[in-house]
Amino acid sequence: MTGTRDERVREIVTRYAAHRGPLLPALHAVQEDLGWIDRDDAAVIADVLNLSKADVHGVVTFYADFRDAAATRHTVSVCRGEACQAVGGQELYERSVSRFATIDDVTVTEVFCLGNCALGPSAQLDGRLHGRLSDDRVSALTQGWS
Amino acid sequence: MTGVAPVVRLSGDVARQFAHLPVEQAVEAVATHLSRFWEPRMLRDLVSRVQADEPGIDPLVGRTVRERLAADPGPTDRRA
Amino acid sequence: MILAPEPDLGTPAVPGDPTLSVTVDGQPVHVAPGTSVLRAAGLAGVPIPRLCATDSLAAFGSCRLCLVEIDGVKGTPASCTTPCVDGMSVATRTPQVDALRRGVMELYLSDHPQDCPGCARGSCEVQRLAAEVGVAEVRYGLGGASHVDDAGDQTNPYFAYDPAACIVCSRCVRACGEVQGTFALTVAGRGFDSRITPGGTNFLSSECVSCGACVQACPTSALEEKAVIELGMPTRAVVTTCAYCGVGCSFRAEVQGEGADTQVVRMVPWKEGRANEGHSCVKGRFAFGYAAHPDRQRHPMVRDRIDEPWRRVSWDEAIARVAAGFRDIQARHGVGAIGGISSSRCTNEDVYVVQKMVRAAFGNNNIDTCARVCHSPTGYGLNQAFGTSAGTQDFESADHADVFLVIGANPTDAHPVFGSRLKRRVRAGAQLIVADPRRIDLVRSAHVEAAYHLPVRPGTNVAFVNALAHVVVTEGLIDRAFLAARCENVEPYLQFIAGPEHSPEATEQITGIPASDVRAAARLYAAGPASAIYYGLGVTEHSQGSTMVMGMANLAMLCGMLGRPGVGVNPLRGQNNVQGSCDMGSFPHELPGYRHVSIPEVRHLYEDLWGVTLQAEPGLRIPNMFDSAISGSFRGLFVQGEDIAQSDPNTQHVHAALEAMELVVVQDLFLNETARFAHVFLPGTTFLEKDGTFTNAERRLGRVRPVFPSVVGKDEWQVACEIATAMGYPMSYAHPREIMAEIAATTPTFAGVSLDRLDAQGSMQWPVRDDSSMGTPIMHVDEFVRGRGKLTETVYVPTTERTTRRFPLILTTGRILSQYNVGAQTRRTPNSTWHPADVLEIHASDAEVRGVHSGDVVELTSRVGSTTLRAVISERMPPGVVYTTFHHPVTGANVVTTDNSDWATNCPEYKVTAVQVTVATALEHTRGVEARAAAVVAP
Ligand code: SF4
Ligand code: SF4
Ligand code: FES
Ligand code: FES
Repeated sequence: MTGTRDERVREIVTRYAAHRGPLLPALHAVQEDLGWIDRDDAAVIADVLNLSKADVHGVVTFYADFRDAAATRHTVSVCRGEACQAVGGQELYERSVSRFATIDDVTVTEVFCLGNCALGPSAQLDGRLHGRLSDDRVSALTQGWS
Repeated sequence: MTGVAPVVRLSGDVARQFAHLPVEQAVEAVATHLSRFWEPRMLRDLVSRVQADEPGIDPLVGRTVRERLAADPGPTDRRA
Repeated sequence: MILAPEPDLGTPAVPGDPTLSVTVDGQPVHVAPGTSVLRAAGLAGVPIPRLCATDSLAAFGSCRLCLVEIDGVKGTPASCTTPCVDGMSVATRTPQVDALRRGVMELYLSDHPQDCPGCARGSCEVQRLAAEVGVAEVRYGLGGASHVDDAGDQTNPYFAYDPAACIVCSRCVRACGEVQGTFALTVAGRGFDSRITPGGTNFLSSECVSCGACVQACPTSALEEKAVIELGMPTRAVVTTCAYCGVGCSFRAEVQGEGADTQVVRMVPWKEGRANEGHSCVKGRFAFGYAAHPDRQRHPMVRDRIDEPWRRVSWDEAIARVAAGFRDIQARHGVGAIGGISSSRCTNEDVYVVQKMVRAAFGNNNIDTCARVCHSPTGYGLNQAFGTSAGTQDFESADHADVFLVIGANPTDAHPVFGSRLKRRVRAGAQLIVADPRRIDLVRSAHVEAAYHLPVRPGTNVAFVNALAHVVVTEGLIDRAFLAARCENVEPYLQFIAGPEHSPEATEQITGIPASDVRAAARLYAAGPASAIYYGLGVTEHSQGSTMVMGMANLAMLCGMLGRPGVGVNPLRGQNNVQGSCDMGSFPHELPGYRHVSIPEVRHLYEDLWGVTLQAEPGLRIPNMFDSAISGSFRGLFVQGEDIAQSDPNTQHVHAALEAMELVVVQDLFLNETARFAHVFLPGTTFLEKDGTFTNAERRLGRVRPVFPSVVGKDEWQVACEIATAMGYPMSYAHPREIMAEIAATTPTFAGVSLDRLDAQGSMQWPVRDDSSMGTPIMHVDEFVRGRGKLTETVYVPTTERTTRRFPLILTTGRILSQYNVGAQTRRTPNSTWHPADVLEIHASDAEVRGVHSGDVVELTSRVGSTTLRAVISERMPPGVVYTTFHHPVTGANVVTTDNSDWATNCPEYKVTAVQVTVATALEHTRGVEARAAAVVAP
């Protein structure tokens, strides 16, 4: 693909312009093709779909799936749902955040319920679900991440 | 913008709107318009310029002035 | 009046008869089907606590504070989203409901600062509601969670955002969408992390247009006027009418203090106001600070020659000087050597008295109004077609339209509150056709898209409207029954318009609009069922402005689009009282109520009342006054509230005319451009000091009430009376009420109007034919005012202003949202944040061939003059057309506009000037601006 980022975003989003409820699929497509959804993409997306920039911003920030920068090599998605919360989900999250704070290539995010409630606290490491996670287990499972 | 007197320019603007009509009707329309909306000194100014055959005067204006306005600058009651 | 907030019934009123009976806590109440339980409770006098609901917005059901119990219904439904059912019995305070509400309230309090300044001030409802709901302690820890430490947003000059106080009820987000139609706000994130944000940036850089609807909707102090933060809550309110555009919004002026010490804290659009229904734009709500601006003149001043400094004098001396000067001129040069210009900014009462001063005391008909330069063709054209010089509908009619045809108007900028109404209707499914050379916002902006944008080439409107009519006629889309029953000159017109020269294919070369688009648009308009035309200065300010107005009237008659809701031909008036100043007899050929001066009965009516003989011949129009000044027969001018030296076309010519006069008397708020040529300056009053009425674009007479007394010691009407009296024609009124009584007594269309009735019964739309009439929202219902509607053969006559090799581009002019006309008011407020200078918009290809880049300084030259300004390459412009606003005197956009004018009314052809654009050096620009700024007295 050639052209500026704006042109590419426009081209991708235009494919969805005629759909009903085009915004979500268009956002997924942008992220898929271009790696992330840039702050400045909102203006182009809004223009193509005849929405306001704020409309786009609201949706982008609502879904944890959307990134505003290139994906890191590794991801940690810690469950903050009720059941996990009751067995230390918050602590797991906070520790993960500080553990990876200095490592550029890891993103720590919150998710709400991974469907693993009986075995909390849960998290996905690089997309794989793990239950009963302690700080030590996280440490072991992520050895070699730098 | 050129040197023409304002009344010559303004009367020409009016005449052009009625130029498509048969000439009697056009004269009537221009005469009615001028007497309904123009202040007497402007009409007098126009009459004297027509009588002096000033260049740039729309022919329809000239005819209207000679036929209708030169003697009497219009009927008294000029409601629609 | 004491400051009581306007009642808020929680959800919007539902139209219909109150056929359901419901009891709320034992109180019976009758409501229309569809009414929410929350609203019914409010009507029953048992208000239910709520946070996310307000009656300007659809119910949302998010705060869960409005829970109730309903007999026979399980659980505790939210009253805002529950519609009433006949016979329903509602309990708002049961132990269960109370407990639930307390729980909800605790959650809100835990995320709300304990020392919330808004709560202390009384501008935040949270702690008051907590007390009402009975929350004593908060189990989650007060002020704990996430919002309290967020940084605020102070970028908007008028309001601040303090996320600490925000409860994320979304009222602001919904107001921005539903009411204003801008959709600039959103909730970002979710759960405890959710935040209100103007799209992830700050307010000033966002899509926000600063209408303030969000501030008004916010139940907390999260969004709050800076003035309230600074000054505290207002203590008193006066309901009055906005003095900016022709929408004529009603406001509560909320103030502190009394009399001369009154301080306006804020303007809150009044929900009862029928023109605006509680909404407003940035000008009306926020830009009132000019009233207290240091530039405002407070004293009369005189000087013998315009190159001398001003000398402050007493009112008596100034008025004596005016009277003696005018009489002296008349003695030497005749009765007709002086005249006056009334202002569309002033009240009907002010204007009526000024025209009376001219006709009775000056003894001539040399009275004109600034409407000459904007909507005089509306007066002529609609009068010819329908018999009355006014729009046919009320604004509310737009809510019933299926198709809008917007021609030469930019409502989202120039008539913002109407623009919001129109967009709302389009979002609800109405179709929109926009005919304008520019791609204005309405063509496509968030959630609104025109079915057709017809970029009509400036100067070719008549060819365009004829093409529409041609399609309607030749494709058999006309309303035969309507034409037969209600119109005249039908057959000749049909024959005329069916001529092949009017077909879209034949006119495509002239108008630049693809024939297929014209055909499609005409079909859409004709199909209706209710199609409405709205138009603005893009129609009137042309050499064929009057013809175009008749052309639109033709189209509406052909399709039967008159005399019912949702249709009509409607001018969007520029200034607040354009309609009123025309109604009040400020045209030189018409006495009040549009009655020609040549009609003996009407003249006699006034002659008997005023005790004078009136002239039966029309007087001079503004451009005629200038021409006569230059030729020497017109030597004295009284001009009120209009800056003719800046706003009228061909500035050089106007300046020469003003310089040629012996006595120029200017009455204004500021030492404007025209005052540079004046010998006497009389200070004027702002709308905050006026008492009387304004008439908006829908013929609605709204009360203007003084918020504080005149800071210059006199009202405008008083000054005119005193000048007349000093000239030997005694004129006096004790109160504007008496002036309106005289208007009513002499003008049949106003017979039933009085200030007392307007006070007691609210605004009314003329005609108000007697004391029992509540006015006329929609005109020409069964019959046209002139009997039969008249179709006129509208021949297209091209303007003489043509593009040439030397002047290959067409300049057209307009205005933007935050500024108003020549900017005398808005430039003296923080509104200048948004529009610090006029710029020239130009299409990319026109820019490219001239080597112009965005931001370059360019020289704009026409046959009559030139000026410099910055260029912006704009996708809104079609090739061959450039555009600028005229808000700033240093630009002097009218330096380049010509003497061309509407053939019938001499309304200047602002919308078509052939120009050339060349890159100028920055140095030339600075010199030009400095030179012009030196010539401009005000900022
Ligand atoms: S001020 Fe008006 S446009 Fe701006 S965010 Fe608030 S509601 Fe929207
Ligand atoms: S300027 Fe017009 S739209 Fe804005 S508040 Fe005033 S009357 Fe209303
Ligand atoms: S709550 Fe964590 S997996 Fe369901
Ligand atoms: S007012 Fe009903 S849920 Fe907020």
